[in-house]
Amino acid sequence: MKTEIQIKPISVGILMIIYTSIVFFCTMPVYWLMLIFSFFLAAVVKRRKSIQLFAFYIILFGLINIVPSKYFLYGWLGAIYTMVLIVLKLFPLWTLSGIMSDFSTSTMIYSLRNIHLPNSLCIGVAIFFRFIPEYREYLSEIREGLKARNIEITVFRPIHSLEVYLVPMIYKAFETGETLSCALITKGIEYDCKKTSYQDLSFTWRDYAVILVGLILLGITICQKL
Amino acid sequence: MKLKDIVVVSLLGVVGFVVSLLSGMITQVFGTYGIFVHVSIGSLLCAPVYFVMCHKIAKRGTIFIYYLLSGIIYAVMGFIPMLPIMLVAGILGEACIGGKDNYINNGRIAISYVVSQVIYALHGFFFILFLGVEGLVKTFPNLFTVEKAQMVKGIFFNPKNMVIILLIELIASILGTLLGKYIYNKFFNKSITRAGILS
Repeated sequence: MKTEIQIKPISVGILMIIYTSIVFFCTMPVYWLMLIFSFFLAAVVKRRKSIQLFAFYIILFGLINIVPSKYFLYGWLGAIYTMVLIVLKLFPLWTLSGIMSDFSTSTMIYSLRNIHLPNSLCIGVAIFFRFIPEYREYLSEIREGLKARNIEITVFRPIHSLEVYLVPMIYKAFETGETLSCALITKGIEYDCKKTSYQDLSFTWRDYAVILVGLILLGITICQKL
Repeated sequence: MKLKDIVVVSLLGVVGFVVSLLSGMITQVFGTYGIFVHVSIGSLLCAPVYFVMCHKIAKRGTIFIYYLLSGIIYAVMGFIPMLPIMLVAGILGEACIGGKDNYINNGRIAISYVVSQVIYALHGFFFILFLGVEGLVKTFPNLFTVEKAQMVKGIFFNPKNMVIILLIELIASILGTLLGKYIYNKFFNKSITRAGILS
């Protein structure tokens, strides 16, 4: 029996493309709409994650508004201030990326294959999206391992400090690659036939609604710029 | 390329992307001078990933996929102009490797890495070249006033600054290649016989 996903990766992907094309050009009201809609989608897909993202946004937004910008135009504080501004500006997109990273690799590959992308590109993009958040966990695992072995990183031994972080990350990539490719081969990804999925990835009214909202936001931005 | 190769290149691409993103953030602490080292720290730190990738997956297309995926992710994050830049970096990286057998040649890998990282390092310059000051203000209205955009243009188009940026990037990439070779030989090269505890 097929299981249904509430919002499909392709509709989130289309929304991401729309957001990408307007995020730097849109006016503030459109930006707020984009942000609210992406939080809403995150809440529909994963409520807990949406709360975390919302809390993070509020903290950053509060920091930027508490601190007057005129003090931070130059110098390293200014650079950090600019970076936070970029993060805030791109937050609707990053929220959507967060939603994308919650889909399983198989779901992503199947969705991308449906839009007739080359197989290698489907696999690459799906893995990239899926595993960027994983590396935050890997980093904390490495940190815990170092703590357990009483290994300290220090600026006086830069190469050693780099090795203890980078080498496990590279090994982890090979290990995950081995497991993942075995899983994909077992599922018959290389077999030359029409591929099916346990998950129903056909569009429902929800997906059309998501794309429609994206198109409305795009339309408003284009109208405002003309 | 086999499926496993594509999977591993993608995962190593994630490592490279995460490291360069983190190091890009670290450069913010240099303030105005961060512009000179924005990519350089990443170039230094990502070289081991590149070296191990080329040696372990010595197949045509490896470098191109590595840069293409980063470009796609940058584009999805809102930085669309990064996609063509990363594509060019990937194509030039592949071209510098030359023959299929050179993926395990340290010299060729080093040249390929340095060239593609230099292209990557110049992304700020390309942004201003194509967008101009007005385009920069229009594209990033919350980030740039006309004066600030003019200042950034002044920094990038000043030949002296350009030479400094390129020089720092070249030195960082070359040091990175040495680091990459060292880490590959120490941890991943099984053909090197090490003195055992009983020898």
